Amino acid sequence: MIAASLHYFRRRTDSVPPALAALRGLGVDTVESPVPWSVHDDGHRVNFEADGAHLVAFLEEAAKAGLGAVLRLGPVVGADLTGLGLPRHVAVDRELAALGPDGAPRVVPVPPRWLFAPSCFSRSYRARSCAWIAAVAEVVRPFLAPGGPVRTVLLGDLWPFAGRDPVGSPDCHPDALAAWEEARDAAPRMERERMFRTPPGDVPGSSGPDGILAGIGLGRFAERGYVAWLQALAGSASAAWSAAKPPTPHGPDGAVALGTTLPAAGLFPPVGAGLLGRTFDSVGLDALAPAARSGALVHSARLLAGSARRPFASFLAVGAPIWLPHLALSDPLHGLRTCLAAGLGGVVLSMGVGRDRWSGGLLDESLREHESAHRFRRLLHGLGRSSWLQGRRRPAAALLVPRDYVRGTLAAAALLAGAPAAGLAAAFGFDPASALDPADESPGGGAWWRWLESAEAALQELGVPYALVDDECPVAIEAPLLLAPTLADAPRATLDRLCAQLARGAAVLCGPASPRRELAAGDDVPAGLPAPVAAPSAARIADALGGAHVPPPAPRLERSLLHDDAGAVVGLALVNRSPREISLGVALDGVELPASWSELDEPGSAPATGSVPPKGVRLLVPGARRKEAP
Amino acid sequence: MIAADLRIDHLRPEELAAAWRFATEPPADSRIGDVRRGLVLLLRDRRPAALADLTDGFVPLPSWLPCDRAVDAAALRRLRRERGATWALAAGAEALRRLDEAVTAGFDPSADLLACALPLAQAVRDARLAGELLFSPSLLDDLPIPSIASVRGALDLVLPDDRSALLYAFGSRGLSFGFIAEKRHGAIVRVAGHDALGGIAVRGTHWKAAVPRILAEAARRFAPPAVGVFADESVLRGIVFGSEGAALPRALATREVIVDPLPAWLGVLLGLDTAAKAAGSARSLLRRFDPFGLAERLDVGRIAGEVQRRLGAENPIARVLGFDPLAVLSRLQQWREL
Repeated sequence: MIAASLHYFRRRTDSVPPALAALRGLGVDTVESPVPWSVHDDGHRVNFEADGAHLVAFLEEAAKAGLGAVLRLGPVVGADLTGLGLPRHVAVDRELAALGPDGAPRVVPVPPRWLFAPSCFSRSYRARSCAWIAAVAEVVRPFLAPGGPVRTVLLGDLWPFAGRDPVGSPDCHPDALAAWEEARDAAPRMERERMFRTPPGDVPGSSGPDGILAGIGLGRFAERGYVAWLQALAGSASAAWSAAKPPTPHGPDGAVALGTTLPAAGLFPPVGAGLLGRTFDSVGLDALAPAARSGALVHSARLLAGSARRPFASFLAVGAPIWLPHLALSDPLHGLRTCLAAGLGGVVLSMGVGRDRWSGGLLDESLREHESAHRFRRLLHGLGRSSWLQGRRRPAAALLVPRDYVRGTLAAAALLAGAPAAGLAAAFGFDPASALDPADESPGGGAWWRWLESAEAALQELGVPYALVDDECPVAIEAPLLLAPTLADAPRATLDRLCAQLARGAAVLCGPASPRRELAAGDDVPAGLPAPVAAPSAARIADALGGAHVPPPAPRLERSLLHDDAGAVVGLALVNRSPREISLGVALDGVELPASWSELDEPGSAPATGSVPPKGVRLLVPGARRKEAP
Repeated sequence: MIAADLRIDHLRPEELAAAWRFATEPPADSRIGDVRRGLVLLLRDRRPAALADLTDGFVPLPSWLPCDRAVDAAALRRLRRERGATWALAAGAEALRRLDEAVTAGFDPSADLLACALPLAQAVRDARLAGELLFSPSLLDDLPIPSIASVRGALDLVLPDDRSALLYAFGSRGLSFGFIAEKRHGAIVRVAGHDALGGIAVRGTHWKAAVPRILAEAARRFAPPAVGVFADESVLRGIVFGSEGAALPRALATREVIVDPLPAWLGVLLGLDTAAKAAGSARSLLRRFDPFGLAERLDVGRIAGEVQRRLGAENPIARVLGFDPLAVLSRLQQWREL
């Protein structure tokens, strides 16, 4: 999937076909658009055919142009729309809003009009959002793949919990409280005592281990509630489609796939990548704006690539929303290359065609190419002609990200800086765990994060191709080495990963503390876990890897081969983390197969030359043709 | 004031980036700092707990800052200066929670963005006065928070309904950025970039030649302009960031800044400001050869007031808002000295 965004509802019906043709000319094979509830529902009736709400005409034109379609149904689609795409009768309805402990509705202060944050626990909101999804699904049904253009349908909010931390700002809607009590009553006794000790209205009222455990419990509860709502939305869509074909929430080959998205918040997204990966095969990464710190995008892309079955970049900013500060325009392609190097198997460039409340895009509103469009065109055509997007990385090491420790960190951050802390930290590209005490070996402390950071730094120093894996994800770890931050209280999912890795005879490094009990229930941990490593040094990791990793010819150079399902090499990603330029001759030294490489921009043409720039990424594909004499 | 269906279009990234640079990167000799360089000191029970530098991420607390004592304005100022930050803010979770509650309390589904945000400004002021929030420098403590009615009144004065306003800045290679705002039914309904005018070429430093056409196209495609400011970008930076005292009157005289059309309110405002600046310049000049200290007795504010009285002019914006925006700008221009 090589997609670009075109907001059909922001263009006249007759201007859609030339826009689609122009996008196709840039090498795009799929067009993406949100389907905003607010555009189609005026509070009296739902309409998909009027000018300005012409979804049907848009899909017909996409089919005629031979383009696939990715539709984002929301309910909260963002898209810089007033009310984030929620119709006014939903956005200002107090009955549907998430509530604070005092019963006051939660507000999302976004321009140009604030709105109430809807509660995904509210039965009324669930019913209305499911009805919306069912209505769109019914309209979209004739256009579903394999016969029609619609290949992927994305559900869920652009930023779950509307940018609020569910631990720092728990939802106290009566339906949420009832669901929490139900979950508490269903939990095993020890888990109930440890994780459900404090009701949502009082969390995070107390600091200390009990407060953090309650915060982790609340985080788990909120995330599972969000995922349950996603499943309800998926059920509504599947039910509308069942007359035509059986419900296929996991999208077998050729059929439409239901998926969801994850905001690019580094390793601290509001909902776990693993949990979303267990719910949907297709999980997209929404990188809404060029990140202030590239590390956040790298972390997000690697975490998703390591934790979902079909990861892709569902929103890669070309340009930026006008509400956010504008960053340097030096290399608009860097984000795309970063995602491709991480192994994401599809990209949506946003915007393909410029629009209201957005600055930039591949094409402007009048379909004139932006100055940087030719550089994107080369790479997009290269992606289309190569097999890069069919490739998957085979990392030598997997660095585990225990989601319960992330929840503990978010709870501690909320205690420290209030409800918006996590959202603000993500906006600025900060890791909230960096604010915590690095000597604190509790799930609400910073010791686990310091260990993870050290491990990642050592892997980067050695140039080991590594993946970041959410411990709650459905993907089996096949890397020869697993690195896992562990504390005395270890999550069940982390312990299971450690045991599985040991059972297949692979290497494990964990630390800074030895797990002594399971975090949620307080049970004893399995015997035979390795002794903890206080700080995972490069030498220790090299020793654990043994012959599984050939050191690169230059320091801090990561070389990742991508293989297709048949095991053939389809690409090579070179990531230079050093401040020095590395010539390609040196960078390729020791890469066994194949013999020649060409640029992904021009697959199969002249052999790649030049160098890998400092802090830069180069993408190569196998096979090159010698330049013929004229 | 801001329409719910506000359109913002034809803003090229280069234009937006130039405007962002203009607003955030003052000239080196300016007394206003780079607003991107900020510090947030997180407090626990009013004591320092963590320090975030917007440039570097979370950084360790300095050793001289005791973690067992409440932070005061002097400590925050020292922290700001040591890290070379332009501003610093100290806040605890409780204060942030209260502000969060103020957001909820201030929300009115039928009101526009500014009407919702003004109560938040009041909540920030209250928290500041209660010592729950600390700012360094505390520049605008004594600035009255206007009511929504006065802000509306000021906007209606500056930009009447069915009219447009233009702000253009030009560099050596032509247009740096240009914005056009259109107002209808008491609210801004559209903001657009220069491309919205259909591609009027602006050649290098000869930008003045393009002004009449820009105004005519804005009138045709948007609404008749009520005010248009066209300026050389470096000169405009000098005026806004206060690196030179009498920059505005001189720029107007040399036509490095063109105000066209010049509305009556702006004429009065510029006249009064020019009088005040002239008095300030006179004092600076006098200081150079003034052995008796006469310059210090020259009261700039009094002279400006006297000019105002004699001309029979009144600052119309100040009358509506309750404060003088140019006086606020002058205060901001003292930023680094505070």
